[in-house]
Amino acid sequence: MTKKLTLIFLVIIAVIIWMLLQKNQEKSNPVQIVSQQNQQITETPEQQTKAKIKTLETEVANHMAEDISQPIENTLKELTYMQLYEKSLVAKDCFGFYLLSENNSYGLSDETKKNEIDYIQDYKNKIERNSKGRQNHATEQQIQSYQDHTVQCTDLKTEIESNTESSDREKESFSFAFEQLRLIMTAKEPISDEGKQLKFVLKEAKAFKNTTWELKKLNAGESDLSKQETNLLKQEIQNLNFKLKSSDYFGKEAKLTPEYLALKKEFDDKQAYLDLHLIINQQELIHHKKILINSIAVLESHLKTEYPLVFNEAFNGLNLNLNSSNRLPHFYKLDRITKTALQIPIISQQIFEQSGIKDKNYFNLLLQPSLDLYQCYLGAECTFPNNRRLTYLCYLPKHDFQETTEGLFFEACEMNIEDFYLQNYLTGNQVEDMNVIFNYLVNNYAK
Amino acid sequence: MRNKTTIAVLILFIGCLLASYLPIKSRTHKATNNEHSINQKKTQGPIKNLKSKKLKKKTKALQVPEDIIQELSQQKYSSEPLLEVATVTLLLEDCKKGSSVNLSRQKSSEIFEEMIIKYQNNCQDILNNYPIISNLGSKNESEMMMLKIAMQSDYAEFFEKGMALQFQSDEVTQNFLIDAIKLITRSKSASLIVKIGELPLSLESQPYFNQLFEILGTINPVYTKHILTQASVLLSCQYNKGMTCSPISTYMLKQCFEYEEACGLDVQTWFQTHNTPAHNRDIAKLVDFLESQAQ
Repeated sequence: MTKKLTLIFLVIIAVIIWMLLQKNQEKSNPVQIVSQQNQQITETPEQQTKAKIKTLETEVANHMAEDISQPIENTLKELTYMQLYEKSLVAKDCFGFYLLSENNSYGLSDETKKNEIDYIQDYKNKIERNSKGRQNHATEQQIQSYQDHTVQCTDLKTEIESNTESSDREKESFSFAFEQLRLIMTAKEPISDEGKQLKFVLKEAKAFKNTTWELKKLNAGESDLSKQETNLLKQEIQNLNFKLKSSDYFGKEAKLTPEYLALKKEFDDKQAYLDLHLIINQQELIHHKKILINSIAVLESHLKTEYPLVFNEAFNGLNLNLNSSNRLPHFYKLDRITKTALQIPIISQQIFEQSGIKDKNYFNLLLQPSLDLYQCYLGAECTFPNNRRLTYLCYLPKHDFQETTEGLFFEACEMNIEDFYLQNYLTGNQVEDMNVIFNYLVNNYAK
Repeated sequence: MRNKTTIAVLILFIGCLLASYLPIKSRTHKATNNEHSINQKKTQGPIKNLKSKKLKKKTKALQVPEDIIQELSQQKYSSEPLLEVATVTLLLEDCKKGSSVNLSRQKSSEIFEEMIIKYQNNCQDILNNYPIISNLGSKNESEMMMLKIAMQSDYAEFFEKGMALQFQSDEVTQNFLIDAIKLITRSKSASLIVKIGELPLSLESQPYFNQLFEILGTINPVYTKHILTQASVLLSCQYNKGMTCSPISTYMLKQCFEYEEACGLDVQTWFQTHNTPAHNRDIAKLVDFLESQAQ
């Protein structure tokens, strides 16, 4: 009996010791996050970054090892033009991620640089910082979507790198994957009608942009003064302008003082002298204007298409890819010199004038939804995650949360774009005016 | 682009305004627990009643010069010296902005030139009426002067709290500013109301923006802020003889610069002719909301 009891007692002791040991082990190695946090306290920021890079390298290596069974060599060549185009859109959406990763963190704060490797944490922080009052934390769906996005971007870059011969420096660029894909696309012959139209429009849009740059240079003219004199004058004008702008008008009546007026006169005289010595090649200017007008007509004709993607590229091309709904519509001013002023009416300006809406800011807020819904009308994918706009609205800010509310509407992950715009994003009154723009698009461009 | 001086002046003012409205609780508390101190206040004047030693020290040096008190007694905009000085400071700040618009070489239509001359004449009148305040020159000087006036109010301690919040965007500041909007609308001062849209009311002010979202039926903060700005301009037209809405107001000068057809119009006419009826209905919703906040 005593033996039995001793045995039971020993077993109990052993179990307790075993349980305590387990507990201690857990304590000394309590999931990675805690141990990483402890490490971070003692490590220098440099060591932390190195450690993070090492973790990432391991992850990428593991990821690549998994793919060994599926060689990615030359996979791009086998893709159709449309498949390449789709990939190029993904590459474009990855700009933000590519900027964060690798060594492309120029322009970013030191704080961002430190966190750049922990993409998901970085993302969560951004959502918290930019929550705009409606949500304090990223939703699970937003986090998952962003995580998928980082994997997609990493895979794409790996695929492009293994399919092209480029220098390390080229590979570092955030637009590397996009540019490479567009390069491959120029050599690829599309099979489908949509692909053919798309290729044509992309080529025309590029030519249109180049012509505007050429015109800008021609319109600015060349001075017959020496470069040294021109630079000196420009510097003086800049200094005078600064003085005028910083003069303290109120209280001292500076604007009305002889000193102020003398400054203003000097500024005007110098500017007039510069303008007087500008020589503009009128013949070349006229020639390029003709090319430009032709380009506009060609792109405009492609707005009347049954393919949403073609419409989108033609529209963006005509807008000179001034990819900011906040700044549109406006005339693309080629030069400030009034005597040779040349303005190119971009497409959104034309629609603005036709819409009957007179307030530019108000119109700007309605233009993008109208365009998105028009593309749905043409048959584009309009549900999450297949609709690119919904992905921007839901989780993917286009420019690292700079001046944009995109990526902050978790509701966009859960509905189609029409419901999102009509039920959540636009007021009932805005919908009334948006319909005007939408109807304009249907009446003028739908076949 | 938000102007820092305007914000500074607004926050200074808000601090002052809150000081005279908010601490009702503390007033009651004081009244029940320390009637003696309240009675002291009445007999000894506001500055002597300040509890904080730090503030006492500060305010000793903060005497508002007689000539400024004299200038503020004109009461052109308000019988309350604090409102008068805040209005004048904001008007002068606007005059400076208007002057810089004129410097742009990009646009100088005849009608715009005509409006800017009228605008400048108006500014000149303000300068002539308030020579001492307008001659304070630097931003710091005018802020200091406002500070002095504010420190003579009963609740200088609370005002100091407002001062400490400058340019921060934390929750405390946001809540402070949300209360400030209510108080500004109550002030019935046009040049303050017109600035509601310019307040550094960041979009983190969740409860406030949620209210606006619900009223408008949107979750878009950019549009909401845009409408809030226009609503505050329209609401301001009701006060100070519509000075913030006249054809030579800063708002209309900016519109005239942007749209030639706006030149010579007042805000109400401009909104009626320029905005769509649907757009105006959204503005009206927020005007109603702001008005209800002032009740």
